Amino acid sequence: MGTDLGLVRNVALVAALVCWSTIGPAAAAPALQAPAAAEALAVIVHRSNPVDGLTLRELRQIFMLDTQTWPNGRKITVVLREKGQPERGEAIRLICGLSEAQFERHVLFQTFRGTLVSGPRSILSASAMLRFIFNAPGAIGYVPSDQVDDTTKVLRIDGMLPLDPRYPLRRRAPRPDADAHDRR
Amino acid sequence: MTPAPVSVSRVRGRELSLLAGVVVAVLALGWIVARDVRQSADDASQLYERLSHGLNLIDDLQFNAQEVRRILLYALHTSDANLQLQYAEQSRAAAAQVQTLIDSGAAVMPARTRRYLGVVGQRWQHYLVVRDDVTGLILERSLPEAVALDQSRGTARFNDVRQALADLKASFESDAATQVEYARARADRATWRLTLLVVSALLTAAVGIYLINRRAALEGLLRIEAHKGSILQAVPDPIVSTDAEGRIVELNEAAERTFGFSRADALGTRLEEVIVPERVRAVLTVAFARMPEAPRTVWPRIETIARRLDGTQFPVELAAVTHTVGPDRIWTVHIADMTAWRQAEEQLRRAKEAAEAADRAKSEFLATMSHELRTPLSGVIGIADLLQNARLTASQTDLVRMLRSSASALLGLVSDILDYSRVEAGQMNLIPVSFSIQSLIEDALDPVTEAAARKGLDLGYVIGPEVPALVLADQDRVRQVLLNLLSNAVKFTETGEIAVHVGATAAGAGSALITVRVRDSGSGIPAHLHDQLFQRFTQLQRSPGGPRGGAGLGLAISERLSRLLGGTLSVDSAPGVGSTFTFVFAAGAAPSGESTDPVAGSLAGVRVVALVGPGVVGDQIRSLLARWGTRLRVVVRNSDAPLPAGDEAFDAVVVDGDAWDGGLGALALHELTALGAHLPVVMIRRLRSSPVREFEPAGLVIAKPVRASALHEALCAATGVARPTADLKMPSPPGELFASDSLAVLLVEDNDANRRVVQLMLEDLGLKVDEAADGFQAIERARSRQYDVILMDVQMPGLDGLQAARRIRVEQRVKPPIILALTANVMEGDEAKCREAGMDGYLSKPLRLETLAAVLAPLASQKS
Repeated sequence: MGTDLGLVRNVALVAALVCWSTIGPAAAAPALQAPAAAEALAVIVHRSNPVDGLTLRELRQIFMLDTQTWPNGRKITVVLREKGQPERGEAIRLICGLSEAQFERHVLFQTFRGTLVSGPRSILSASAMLRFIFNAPGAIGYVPSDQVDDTTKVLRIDGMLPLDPRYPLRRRAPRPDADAHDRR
Repeated sequence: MTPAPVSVSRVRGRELSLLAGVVVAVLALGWIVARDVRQSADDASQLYERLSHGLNLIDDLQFNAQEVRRILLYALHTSDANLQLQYAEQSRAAAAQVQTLIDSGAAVMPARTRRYLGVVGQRWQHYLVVRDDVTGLILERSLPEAVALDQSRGTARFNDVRQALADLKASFESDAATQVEYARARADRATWRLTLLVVSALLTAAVGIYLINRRAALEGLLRIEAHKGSILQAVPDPIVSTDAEGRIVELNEAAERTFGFSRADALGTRLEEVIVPERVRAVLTVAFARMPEAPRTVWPRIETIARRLDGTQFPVELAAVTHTVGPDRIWTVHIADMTAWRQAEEQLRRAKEAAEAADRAKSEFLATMSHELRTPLSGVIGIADLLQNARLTASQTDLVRMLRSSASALLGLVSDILDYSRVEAGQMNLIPVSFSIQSLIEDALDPVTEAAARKGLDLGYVIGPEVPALVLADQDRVRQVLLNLLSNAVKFTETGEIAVHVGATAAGAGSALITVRVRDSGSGIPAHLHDQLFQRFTQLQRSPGGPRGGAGLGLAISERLSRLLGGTLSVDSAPGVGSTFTFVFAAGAAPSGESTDPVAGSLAGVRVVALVGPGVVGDQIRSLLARWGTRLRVVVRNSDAPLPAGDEAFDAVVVDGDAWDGGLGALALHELTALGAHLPVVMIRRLRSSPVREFEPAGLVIAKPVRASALHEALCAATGVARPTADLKMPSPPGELFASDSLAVLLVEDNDANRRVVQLMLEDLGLKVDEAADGFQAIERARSRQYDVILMDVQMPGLDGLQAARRIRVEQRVKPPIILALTANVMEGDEAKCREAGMDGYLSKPLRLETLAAVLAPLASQKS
């Protein structure tokens, strides 16, 4: 998986450089952004949230419901897409490195263990995700990076915004064997 | 008079400007009121809009604010994040709506209320913070916290919002009330103005109508005034109007002109002081005071004297009317200047007097003339009369007859003139006497007999049985009229006959109206000339070359005489038909009783056959014979009646020889005489008709016109009937009636011819006469001898008859003589003068023998 990433990254970088050198910085942004936006997941929080960035590890801990409060003490509410939607499984895989089923089992386990105050919330669409985050000061969710607006705050992950080529939460082309493997 | 047109235009201009001003004011007021009404209506609708908008807005605010909280709380009841999110979003939207309402409300709300809106906005923001927190808590599944938060801070803040909203609403409502109040006040003002406008418009209309009416009335009045004024000015006489105190209030130009004062000076002064002289003021004041109180009473005309400004006075006639104008009584006096009138009156009076004097002079002249003419004429006629009795040759006799007739004609003319002047002067006095109408008519026919015979005219009369035999009237005047009519008839008739018909109608007790109709068969008179007939000195040109003659006085005198006699004279005539003059006079019953013909019925039983013509002569014979009682058979020539048959016996035949001429009568007579062995024949014929040989055996011939006595006598003689001669009044035949010593007569006459005539007449009567040529001689003679009768001419040179008579009366007291005046002065009053002078009577010249005999006979018998 690391080789693939590196390849893609290289290709994108080369393309960006070529584009930058040929057509100038003004036209370079969309050219650089486009392939990244199509695939990156932007992690969003309420704009009043004091946190500006997380490490992937911290993000994974939050989504895995291991961290349940923000540094300011406010309870963290994780917002996912609805069960059965590809964006839910995708996000769980990207962030938590788990299949959806593994994630559900983990949540059930947490619930039984009693460490879980409240489980993740499910939202039907990206736009609803955006509005949910806008209304809930302690919530955290995600939307495809091309749907981000200024109603929410986009967190840096590992210090990088989704436009960054090295942004960790970038979706890969779906692999059927992987899926089959997941089902297994 | 004030010139009317100027004041009219001035008044019109003033009224027009006044009216225009009022109309402009009303229009301006109308504009203001319209603007007000419009404004208030606009205000009201705007106010309504604003208020309803504001109230809606506040309601929306309240509702939406509730919704924000309510919807949010729905999210508590679900665990689905999507639903929770949806509710949260809805709540947020509602909150945004609230905010929008608040923002828009700021534009709508009035300033005072806007403050409250600001409070609402602030509190709403406070609440929204809580709401956002609550939303977050809900979405983050911290439901208890969310509820707790909402219960604690959310409720409080929301209540704040609600309170603020309530305040806002209260403020808005109070503000709205103020605005409504203001709008109502404004509407009230508009209403008042509208009312004012309507009232003023009505007033304007009323004033306009009033002005128009007043204009029409004023113009009508001015027209009437101008008309009346022009009438007033057109009158040439002064007209002055005064009030009840007599102060002049109006007058016309004629008054200014007449009295010489100007209108300006005269107005206000008292009428009496200006034009009434002092001496008649009192009279006029009384006259004024006696005026009846009723309005419009016409003042009777008062003749008085007026004074001009320069003091001259002149006669006037005042006529006044009074009428009441409101409380004032106005006199209008019409003053007629009578100066010219008086002058005309005076002139008229003088002219009348002059005319009367001239007329008197004329009458005097006529009387004098006739007197002067009659005196010599008496002599002429007297001498002619005497000559007729003398032995003369045949030619001399003819000459004397002509002389006599000419003199008579002349005397007739003179008498006519005298009569006329006497009638005109009203000096004709009637002397009624008792007389026989039949004799009168026969006498009247006499003078025209000869003329009629010359022309071959038949004359006849018929007296109706109703006519009394004797009547009482002025015989001379009746005869005069009759003679005139007959002579006219003869004069203007050439062929045919002249018939007199007498009738009578009772007219009250003892009197009758005698109608005498004189009908001729002459040329006739056209109807349009009838009126002229009776005017004096008029002679109609009846036919070209027709007879003329006379003074033209005859019919005029006759007409006046017939009126004097209590009757009329009228004519009925047409050319070619002849004329009928109808003379009516009033007659009294004769005092001496004999009202029937004394010979009536005297020939009863005598059988007479009369052969007559169809004319009046036949009628006369028939009527006479019928009256006398004969058994009469009348055979009218050319009629169908046959001659009497042979076996009839008759005592006499009366034949109209002129009708039965040419052998026809002879033949008839022959037949009749063949019947009776000796049948006496009485023939009647005209004076000059040729003797009819065939009738010679008859022997008895009577001339036309037939006198009743002659016919009666002839019939008596023919039939041997005794005649009652005693009853017939035959005139005494002239002759020596007196013994020569029976009366001592003194004749006093200055005119030799007349004295000679009277002397001869007296001598004819068998009397011896002493003569005196004047008054002095008469007195001398009277002293020397006792006279039984003195005939005294009145007008004599020296001592006239009247003075002589007085003297003789004084001297001869022992055995006073009868003094009779001889005078041609037959004017009224002469007789009185004679009587006053002591005379016993008078004899009118020309003296006639018969008159003289009739007067002297009783004196002689007295003496014997």
